[in-house]
Amino acid sequence: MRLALHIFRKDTRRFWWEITVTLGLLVALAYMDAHRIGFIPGPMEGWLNMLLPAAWAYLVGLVIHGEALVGDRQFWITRPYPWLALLMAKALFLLAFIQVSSFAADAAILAARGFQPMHYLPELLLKQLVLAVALTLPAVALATVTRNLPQFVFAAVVIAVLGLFSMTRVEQFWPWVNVDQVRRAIALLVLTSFAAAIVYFQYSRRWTAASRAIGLTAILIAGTLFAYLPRSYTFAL
Amino acid sequence: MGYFLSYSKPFYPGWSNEEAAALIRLYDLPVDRTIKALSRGMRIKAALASSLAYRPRLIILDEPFNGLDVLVREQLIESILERTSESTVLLASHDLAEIESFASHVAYLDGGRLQFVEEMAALSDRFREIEVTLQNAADLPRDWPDHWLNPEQASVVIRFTDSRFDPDRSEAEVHRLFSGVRDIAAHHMPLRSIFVALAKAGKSVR
Repeated sequence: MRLALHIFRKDTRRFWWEITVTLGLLVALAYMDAHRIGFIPGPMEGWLNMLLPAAWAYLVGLVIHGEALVGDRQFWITRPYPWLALLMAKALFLLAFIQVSSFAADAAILAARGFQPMHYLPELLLKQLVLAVALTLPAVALATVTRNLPQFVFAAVVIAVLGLFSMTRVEQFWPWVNVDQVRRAIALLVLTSFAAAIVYFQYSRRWTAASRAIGLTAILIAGTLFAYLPRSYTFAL
Repeated sequence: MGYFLSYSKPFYPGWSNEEAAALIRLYDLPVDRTIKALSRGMRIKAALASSLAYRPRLIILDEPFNGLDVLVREQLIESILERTSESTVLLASHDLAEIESFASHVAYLDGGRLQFVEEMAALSDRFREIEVTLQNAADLPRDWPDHWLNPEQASVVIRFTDSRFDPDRSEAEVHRLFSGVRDIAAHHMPLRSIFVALAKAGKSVR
């Protein structure tokens, strides 16, 4: 744990500027959300809603590539890093600057609107879980199998565009149609399980070829399930 | 630079602050500058300082002196030798003249395969460039020994590299194979010449 904290402090010192930017975006978004009149976000809030996940994903890429796992020429692998300490340090970083920050922002929005955040703890935690499985963990998995930051950004953009495009082709987005929760949850469950496996393999063994194969398999399985599961499953809930 | 050393410290139980401070002074490392802003020589010094400070038992250096000026090379070699009396230093280099001055053992890799590993002194003892001067020009003998490498002939002078040199045995062998030997000279070979001879011969010497 001592080494994990040591690496965490190094990452915080190194990426303080990027951390500040993401926290700034989060604060701005939380402020707009807390002071918005009505249900529909304004244009600036809409942009921030898209920009913040992208900034978080970039922060994930930065911190994971601080000790890149692909290749054998990195300086850090000449040092006796215990893999568990390294993994814990990265997890601590993401917990502190993405998950806990986001949780605090959500709690602040509730409080600003006159609600007691503690009364909505399960909902707040569920939102954190969704953030972790839909953004943080997949981004970590992608960062662990990419060679460098530009490769990570390129792969992330391609996957995001293809994912959104596929969703618009498969799902129906109408106000009177409820969100397709079952198919989404199953696809996310598959992606999360495989992403966790990738992160474990990369940090413990650095089996990049196998991890990339696992990643592609996960995308194929999740995509197939999402496309071919009957939509009626959602109405059965 | 200073932060880099303090960051490295917790990874090594055997880290010595005194040793790190001595290395910073010895290498004249600018502790307030970032590694990115350092020259290649300074970066190598920084990497060495962060490694020597915990008194490692094994140090692996891959072409550490490439692109460094002579003074920096000498300083690095001296500091490594001073501080690694109880350690093993495995150094990969193409600069044979340089490693000859301090290597105790030499391994020869050719095409990714280890051809031999040997004590420097033994290797130096068993290789000689032999120059045989005959009274009359003669062809090379048919039963040329395998361990005599790269034969060259110019009139009455024959030169080759003896890879199993022994003063008495080599001389007797020359007399056995050549008639009318006027002179035999055995020249000591620097490491560079030994490796060139081996590379030209393209064969293992064991």
